[in-house]
Amino acid sequence: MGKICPLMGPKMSAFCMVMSVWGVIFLGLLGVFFYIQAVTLFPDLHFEGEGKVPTSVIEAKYNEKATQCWIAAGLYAVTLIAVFWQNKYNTTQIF
Amino acid sequence: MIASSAENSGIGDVLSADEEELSARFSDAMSPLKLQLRFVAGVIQRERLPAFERLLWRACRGNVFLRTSEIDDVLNDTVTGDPVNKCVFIIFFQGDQLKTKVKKICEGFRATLYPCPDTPQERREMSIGVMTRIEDLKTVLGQTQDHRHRVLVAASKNVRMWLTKVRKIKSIYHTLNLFNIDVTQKCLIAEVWCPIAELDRIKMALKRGTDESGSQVPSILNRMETHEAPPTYNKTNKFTKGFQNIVDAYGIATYREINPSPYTMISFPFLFAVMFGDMGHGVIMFLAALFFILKEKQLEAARIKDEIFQTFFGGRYVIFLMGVFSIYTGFMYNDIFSKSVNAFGSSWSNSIRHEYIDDVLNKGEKASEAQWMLVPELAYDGNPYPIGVDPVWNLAEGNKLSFLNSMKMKMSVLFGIAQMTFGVLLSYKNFTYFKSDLDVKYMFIPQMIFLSSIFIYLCIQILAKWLFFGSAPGSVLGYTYPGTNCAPSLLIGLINMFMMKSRNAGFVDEAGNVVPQCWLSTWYPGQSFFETIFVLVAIACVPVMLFAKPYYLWKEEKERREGGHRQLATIEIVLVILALVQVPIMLFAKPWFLYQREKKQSRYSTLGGNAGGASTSQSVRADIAQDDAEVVHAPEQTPKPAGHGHGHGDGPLEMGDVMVYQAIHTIEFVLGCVSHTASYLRLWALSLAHAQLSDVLWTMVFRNAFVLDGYAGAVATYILFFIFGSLSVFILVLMEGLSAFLHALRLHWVEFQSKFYGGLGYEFAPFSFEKILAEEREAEENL
Repeated sequence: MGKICPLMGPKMSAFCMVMSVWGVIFLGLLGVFFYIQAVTLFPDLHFEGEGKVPTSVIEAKYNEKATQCWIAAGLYAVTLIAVFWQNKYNTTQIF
Repeated sequence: MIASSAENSGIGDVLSADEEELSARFSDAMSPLKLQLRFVAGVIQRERLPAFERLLWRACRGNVFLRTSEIDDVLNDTVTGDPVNKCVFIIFFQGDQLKTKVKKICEGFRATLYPCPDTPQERREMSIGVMTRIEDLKTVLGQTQDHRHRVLVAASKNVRMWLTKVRKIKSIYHTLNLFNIDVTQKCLIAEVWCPIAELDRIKMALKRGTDESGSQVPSILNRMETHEAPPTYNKTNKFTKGFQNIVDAYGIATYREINPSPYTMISFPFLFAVMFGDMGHGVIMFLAALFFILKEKQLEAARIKDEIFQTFFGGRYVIFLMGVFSIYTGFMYNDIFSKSVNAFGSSWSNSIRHEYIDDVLNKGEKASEAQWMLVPELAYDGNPYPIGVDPVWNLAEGNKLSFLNSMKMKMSVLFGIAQMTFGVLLSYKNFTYFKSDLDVKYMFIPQMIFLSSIFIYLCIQILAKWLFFGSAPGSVLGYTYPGTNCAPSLLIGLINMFMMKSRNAGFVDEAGNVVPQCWLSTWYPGQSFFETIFVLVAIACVPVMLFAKPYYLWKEEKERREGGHRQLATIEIVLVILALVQVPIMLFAKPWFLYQREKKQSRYSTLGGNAGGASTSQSVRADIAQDDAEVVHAPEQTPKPAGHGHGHGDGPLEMGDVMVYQAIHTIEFVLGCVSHTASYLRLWALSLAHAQLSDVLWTMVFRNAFVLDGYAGAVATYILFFIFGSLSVFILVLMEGLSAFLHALRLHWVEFQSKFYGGLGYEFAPFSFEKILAEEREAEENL
């Protein structure tokens, strides 16, 4: 199998693969927690301006962050495929 | 062979050409004069040709005719295998004298001469003969080559096995060289250590060896009595090996001393996890170790040389347990990447009225910074969170740390004292095993009393404070308790206990007013009295630990010596009589024995020489009759106190040594109890550091991802997660894990094992092919 666009070595791609799997799971779950409006994630929300924030705005923010996390999780899924391809075809397998 | 055959064919070509030319030229002259024109043919190295030609010309004065032709093929020297270029030549001459001369010159230049028949038919026949021979030889060579290749391929399959065999045999002979040949030169004697539990297997192996070697004489296994300390042998498997290594790295257990590694298997990962408590990081560690364990066979076969990898791989079961325990403690701390999970429903609710909050919020910027307190009496529903820390504390920005610090500190003290007490209890097992009554009475018991009266008392106080002093005022342990501000301060209480300060009894005076500094009051009836007693008992224990054992040793020694004095007179008489008796013995005994021996030997030699000499051979003959591997058991040795060097009969009692040893041990214990308890606070400190670091990582790094909105936010999340994840793995899991590991190691080596573990033994190193082969393989790979 010829090397197609070799970007990273076996160790780097293995590390990125682990990170991607973790990213998909972690960000997916984090999205779920944002979606169910977990209180523990409230300090992570960022609001413009001071003073009172209506509940609807907070809920919208939660939903937005959930989507944001899921998009990032999707990006990691794409990364996973790319890195997997790198690992499979461009390098000698380490394990 | 190839070279010579090629040369032959070359000569043939030259000859046929020259022959025709010559026969044409001399055809008229030759036949009438019967001219004897003859020739010599051969090959010569190309570089020698000019010199050869010149010499021929000079030596024969131009009377010879030389024709040469280069051989195009590069020939190989048959001996060295180097490539050589050669020329084929033919020399025509006349007469015998010239022939000898030419031949000598040829010899001198190391030319190879080949016989060549005179007539063309014969030459053709010879040429054909040479051709066929070359063909034959080629087949033979090919076959030889094939055969050689086959043999080598077959050998290469076996060469590893043969090497292994050679190594095994070498190691066996090396060990055999360590054997003693006994005086009769008829058998080998080896003195070895072996586990008693394996005696049957050894006996079986010896019997099998005897059977397989076809020997008539069975091997004899004799249990010897010795004063040497035997090596320590702990049976391990791949799971327990990691923990045994942790213990052995401190010191191999003294022979028959209690081995702490079974307890370490639980306490080590637990103490590690107390410092590393985070479910998320625990899962990472757990999965890494799980990967090592599941891929065990492949990774072992891969034989990765990296030292760091080998360390982690060797400790994979330790890491596995550390991961599992970290998940557990993380669950208890309710910590997962510094976030909490509200799994069972928090017991706290918002007690502040919404109107009030709205009111403050509407006032503007300044007020929104204000901190509000959830008053326990109102916000707490009275039923604690079922298991672990209530998730509400994660959101308590103001007093999260005060709460967790107090909890973790107290827990550290509880764990620490529990482990130290367990260590002292293990020392009791050691003392009873070594039948050291003095140590039980004057070491173990005072130590336990000392420990209980101060430190276990402190633990009970901690538990009591947790149990009884809630937020609600009421009557606690017989005193009126006005509220949380009067909850007793344990640390200052402990200091006051030693200072024996007089304190207020209860938190309120007769009038019902709260006394000033009510947290310093005594908080149960009779506290001052009990605490005074405890301190006095603890102090009284110190001289007992210090002097009792040396005193009893000294007394025992004195009694023994006095017993000796009383019988001195009798001994003197006996000695004088003995001395007198010695004189005739010295005079006659030896000559008499020599005479007896001479007589005996002369009698044996007349019997026909089948008796092989001295008394040892007689015992061997007796064994032949039994036809079985014999085990002679020496009487069971009574265990001796582990090498503290207070000799019961090993020599005179060194009072100074005993005193110094005892003083060191006592001071170590008494001061150790204090400093070790403090040392266990590292459990809290590292746990705090870990929690704070992971909190910083979340708030400083990952939180920024949520500031941006839309797709930019998603990309920011993507990038920042990578940074957050990498930092989590490298800083929090690897570095923090390493530091927690080292602290757990220290807690086991110093705080736990110093209570009972001598670690003065040495390792049992049995003869093992596996070990020898592994060493050889390593040496081979490092070449």
